Amino acid sequence: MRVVLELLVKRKTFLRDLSLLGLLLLLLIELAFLEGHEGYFFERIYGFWALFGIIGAFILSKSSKGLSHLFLSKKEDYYGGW
Amino acid sequence: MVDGRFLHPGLIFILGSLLLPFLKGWVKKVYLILIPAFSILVLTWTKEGTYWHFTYLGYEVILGRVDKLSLCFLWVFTIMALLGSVYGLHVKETGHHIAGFWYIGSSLGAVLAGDYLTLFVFWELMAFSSVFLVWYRRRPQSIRAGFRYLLVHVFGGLCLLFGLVGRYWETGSLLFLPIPPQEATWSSYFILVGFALNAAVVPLHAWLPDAYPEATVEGAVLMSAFTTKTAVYTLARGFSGYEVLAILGTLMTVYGVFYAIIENDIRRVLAYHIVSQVGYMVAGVGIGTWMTVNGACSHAFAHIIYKGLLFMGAGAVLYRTGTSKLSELGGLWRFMPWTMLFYIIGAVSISGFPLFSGFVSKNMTVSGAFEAGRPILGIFMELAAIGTFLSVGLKVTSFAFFGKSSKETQEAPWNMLLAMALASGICLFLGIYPKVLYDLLPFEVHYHPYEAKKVIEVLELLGFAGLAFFLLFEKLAPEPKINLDLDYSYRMGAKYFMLFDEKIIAFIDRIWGEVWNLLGIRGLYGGAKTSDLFDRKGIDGVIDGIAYGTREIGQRVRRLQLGSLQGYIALSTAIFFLVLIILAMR
Repeated sequence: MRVVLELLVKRKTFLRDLSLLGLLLLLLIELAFLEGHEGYFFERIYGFWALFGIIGAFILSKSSKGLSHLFLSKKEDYYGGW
Repeated sequence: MVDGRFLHPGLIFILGSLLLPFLKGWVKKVYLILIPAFSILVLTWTKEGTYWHFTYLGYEVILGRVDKLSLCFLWVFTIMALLGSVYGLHVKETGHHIAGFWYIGSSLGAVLAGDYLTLFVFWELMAFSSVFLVWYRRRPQSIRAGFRYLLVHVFGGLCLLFGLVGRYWETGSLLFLPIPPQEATWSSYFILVGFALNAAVVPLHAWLPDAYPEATVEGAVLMSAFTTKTAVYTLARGFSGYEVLAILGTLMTVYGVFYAIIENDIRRVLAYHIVSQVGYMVAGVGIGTWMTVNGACSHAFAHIIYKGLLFMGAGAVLYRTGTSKLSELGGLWRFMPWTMLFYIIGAVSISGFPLFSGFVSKNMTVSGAFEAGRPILGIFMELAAIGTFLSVGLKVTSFAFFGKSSKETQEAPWNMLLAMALASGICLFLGIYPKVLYDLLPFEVHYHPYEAKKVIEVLELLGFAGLAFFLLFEKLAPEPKINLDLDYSYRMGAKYFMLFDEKIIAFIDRIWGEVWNLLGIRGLYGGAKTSDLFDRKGIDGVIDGIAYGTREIGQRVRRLQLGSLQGYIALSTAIFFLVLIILAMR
């Protein structure tokens, strides 16, 4: 198990490139299913979920980290004995 | 415990625990496995029906309502009990095992309850047994967290009690039946609040991320499964179609991941993530179509297994390294590769990747929301799915198992690995053969998860969210901080109340003491003296005066008694003439 993991960690750049290729491939595959798109208007937009995925991740990350830094985050002993 | 072909699985655990103090060594370990295994066996022959139905003090009591809905939860609860028992085999404290068995047993009892009275008894038993799983960690902060957990649940229990008494007053029945939204009264909403608190519905959720991370390694695995999912069952049973649940459930999905992204402790990340995942179930129940209620139940089933698995992975890390803080961890893949593999299977499942259980359960609720004409709710649920992958999937895996190596340690014990392997197997099995899960659901399933369009959509959503994570990698680094949540209200509320008590109330008490010493005591003395004087001079004076007067007259009369006849005749004659003179003068 550890040997396999070491092998994968050594090839992390390759894995990253493979993942990016996979994402591009997904967008290409979606083209084949455009005809069958049904449902709400946004579901019929090509690449909508890819865009939603990346924008949603930015919004969630930025807003949560932003609010955390603004006032939510406190020292670990903030509550003391409470 | 026996009624024809019905054995109460909850009582198997509760009564079974009574033997535990007398067992030792491997016999005890075998017994810990046998009890949940036996309860699973019992379920294989349990048929739908109503068992143990009798009247107690004029109330209808049903201890064994078995139908498709309850069976679905009974199955997953007993399977999780077995996994939890295997995971906790190394625990030496018998009390911990007993608390665990009582907790599991009471959860099963609550699911089987056909009336509010039985439900309430098992409901409270759940809270009082599970708190020991927090206290057994024996840290001062765990003891305090346990008390807070208990207080919040007692409040929820009181809401439930108030509601069920009201319901009896209104309807004359305590049977636990669905309450359609249009027939809901004030008592229904009290019951709903009681259930919602246990389901950690925002804003009644803060007890969960407060208590679960403070529980023992093994206790947290059990707690992640039972309390919230029992509440989801009761909501599905009684409150399907409530708009407030649809909205709050969807809010929960996003609220939970919002905190999961910023928390540092793995178990706090996972605890917040329970809030998010239970949100899908609550929303599914709230939307109330067959598909979304099915989605809620299937998601509860899948969630119990993979969330249990994730808590097992996090617990194994805590058990071996002594910490579960991401800021203190890293590079564990070298030392705990199997734990990492199983954790990743749990993370991939919860993120909803195809071929894993989350994909076939979560998307049923989300698709159900879209099909029910609730696209905004559906969109927020998809947003929460992104947050799930970012937090539980990528953040924890990257910062705990990869990155810089900070702690040298060893792989988790064999029993922990075995439990994680079994849970991982179930996650994969359900993802590949969803029919097994769908056959357990309360309504007939017409949903097909593996349509090409759906698979592509999910892969695009998660794949591109993953891309965003690596672009934001540095920004998402965990920080050794905690984040304020609504438990602030009662934690700081208690602090300020005590400060108010110690400063203001104590000051008023001191002043009052002085005033009392000055005025009160003196007044009291004065009053006592006056009343003493009155007693002695007034009351005693009158009483004594009469006595003295009588005695004086007696004395004087006694002096007249000379004892000689001549004296008496002389006195009588004198009195006679005195009377005559008085009469003559008139």
